Amino acid sequence: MYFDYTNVLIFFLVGIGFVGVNMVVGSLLRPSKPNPEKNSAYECGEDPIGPNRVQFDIRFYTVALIFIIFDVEIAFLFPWANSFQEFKAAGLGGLVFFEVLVFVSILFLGLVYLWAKGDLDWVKSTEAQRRAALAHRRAEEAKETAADSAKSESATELDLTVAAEAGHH
Amino acid sequence: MFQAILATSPMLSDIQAFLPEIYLTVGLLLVVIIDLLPGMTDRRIPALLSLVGLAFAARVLWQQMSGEPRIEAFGGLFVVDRFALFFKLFTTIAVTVVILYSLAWKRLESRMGEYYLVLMSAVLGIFVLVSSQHLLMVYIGLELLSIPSYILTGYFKNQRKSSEASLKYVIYGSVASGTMLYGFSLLYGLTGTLRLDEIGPALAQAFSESGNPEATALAFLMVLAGFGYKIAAVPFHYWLPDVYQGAPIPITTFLAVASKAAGFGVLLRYMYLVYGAPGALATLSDVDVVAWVDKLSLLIGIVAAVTMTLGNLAALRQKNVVRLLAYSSIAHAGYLLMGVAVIGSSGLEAVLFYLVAYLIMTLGAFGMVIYLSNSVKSEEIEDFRGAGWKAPIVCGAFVMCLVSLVGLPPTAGFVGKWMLFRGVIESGMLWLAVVAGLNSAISLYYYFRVAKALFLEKSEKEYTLKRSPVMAAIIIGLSVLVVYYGLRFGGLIDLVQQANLFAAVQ
Repeated sequence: MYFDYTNVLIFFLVGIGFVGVNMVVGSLLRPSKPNPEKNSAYECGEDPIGPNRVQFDIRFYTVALIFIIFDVEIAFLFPWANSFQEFKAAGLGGLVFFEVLVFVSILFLGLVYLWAKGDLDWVKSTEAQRRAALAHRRAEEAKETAADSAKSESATELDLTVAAEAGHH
Repeated sequence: MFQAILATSPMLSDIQAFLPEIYLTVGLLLVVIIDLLPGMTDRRIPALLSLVGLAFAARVLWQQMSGEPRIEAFGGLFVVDRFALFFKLFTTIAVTVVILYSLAWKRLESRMGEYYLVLMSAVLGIFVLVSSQHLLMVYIGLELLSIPSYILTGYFKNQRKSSEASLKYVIYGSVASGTMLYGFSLLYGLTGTLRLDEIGPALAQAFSESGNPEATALAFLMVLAGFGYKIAAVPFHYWLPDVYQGAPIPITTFLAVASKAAGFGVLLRYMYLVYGAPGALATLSDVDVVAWVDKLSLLIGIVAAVTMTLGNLAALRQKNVVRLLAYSSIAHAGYLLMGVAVIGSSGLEAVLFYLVAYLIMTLGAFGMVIYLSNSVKSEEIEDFRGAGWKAPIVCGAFVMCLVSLVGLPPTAGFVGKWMLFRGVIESGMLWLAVVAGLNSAISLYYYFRVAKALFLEKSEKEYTLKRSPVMAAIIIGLSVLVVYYGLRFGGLIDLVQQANLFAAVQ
């Protein structure tokens, strides 16, 4: 047998039982004297400040995602550097170096892409969005004059509202 | 020339087996670069680059098809055999049509570089997935397919439905892939290896020595959850109708055809290597093992029966044609699972054949939806009323695809279904064939409701159908193929027999 199921089951039951028994014993023994201070959430002894469901800026996630580029790069470069000498000894140094260059430049392309799309700016580039929306609107107008063409897409509309908002800031 | 350089070093021959994927990657990177260049605003350019990448990949695939029957690369992580090549060529064809649909569909306008970049990464995921022979590669392939699918589903950022569908898909997908990873870890615990071709014999050995059916069954069920979510078999199908409806229609087509086929590809390889391959469970004559594998096959049979019944019954009530096709695609996953339930050669061939038929007829059906929705700006069946007489040839071709989806002769759908039925009856699951037969009868009703709306009902409002010669040509071509393979299926059966994993061993 690979697993001893009985042991697992006993462990599981004891685990649940331990928590349950302690809670029951505690509720039987302790005096019940609630007051507002006691009922409030524990925040290191400080007075709780506001609700705990705060709005977390989504830009932190963008930054975290951008960081992954460099993270992955390093994670792969270490093993590469470690085995490079062996490849060099086998006469494949140039090729292996070329390979890692390809790898790094692909990741670099990702960085350039982010840069160009305005994701490196902390204020996700309302400027870039405005420019994109303007370009889009010009393209739309050109299309309209050219032919009848089905349009009025919600994408276009929102781009324009974004542009309008950017104008307010 | 590139290939000549690669052939000089043994280490590089692995890369040669990986060439189609490299071409796809280069195409994908070019799409990124083009997207960055100023002045490249024509939405056709990234599509064209993607098509070129696919064409290069297809060329290498074609060469590999007539080359060695089986190449293992990267220490057995990656395998190029006829089975993998079948699915890669299948995907190439499907995605080519999907790209043409994307060009034709009027509602796709902005951020086209991003769109094709993400689409091509999904294709890369499929290529990796169907070639993987190692559980980690399976996982990487599955994620490489899934993550772009989530993004593409939510492509219309400003549409509530699209975002909701994307979020549902992400949550459902991550739970499923987490469950599957747990199953993988159990398999690793049982066998001590992650290589699929070693897991089968190791599992069989463990089974005959100590017999541990509970853990093996648990591992199997958990892995099945991951694959079941990809192919949308019934307890894992909840995401599908919303995702299909929320996604841009070309992406729905991609999910219905390429992504589903990839799920079946990896499921079939997994079933074969772990249960059916020489030395694996199904080859042992031990009475307990035979009974266990029979139970496994019964379980998949039940899943198949429930999947097709639920899909068909739910489709009966649909008013939106995309949602109808979504439930119909669940039903078809059920039919295909019949072939998986037969853990054997005839089942595998039937699944592959039916997949080809499914590819052609589903592409045709979604093509028609795009064609009509470009003009009427809606996907409700009642808005399609009377369109049949405005474009009789295209709509007639579409009806031919519907006939094939029902599984009536003389279409490829009929031949595929016949092969599936034969497979399950031969392996003694007559009840499953009966359920599937009843289901086909049910499906007749809702497919023909669409046909009826097109030809026999009158539209309340006046509209004109926009002509689209390319789309019309694609739909008519697909329907001709449906009938052609329904009448002359010999060549396709040869191809399917070549791709048969069971045959490759002998």
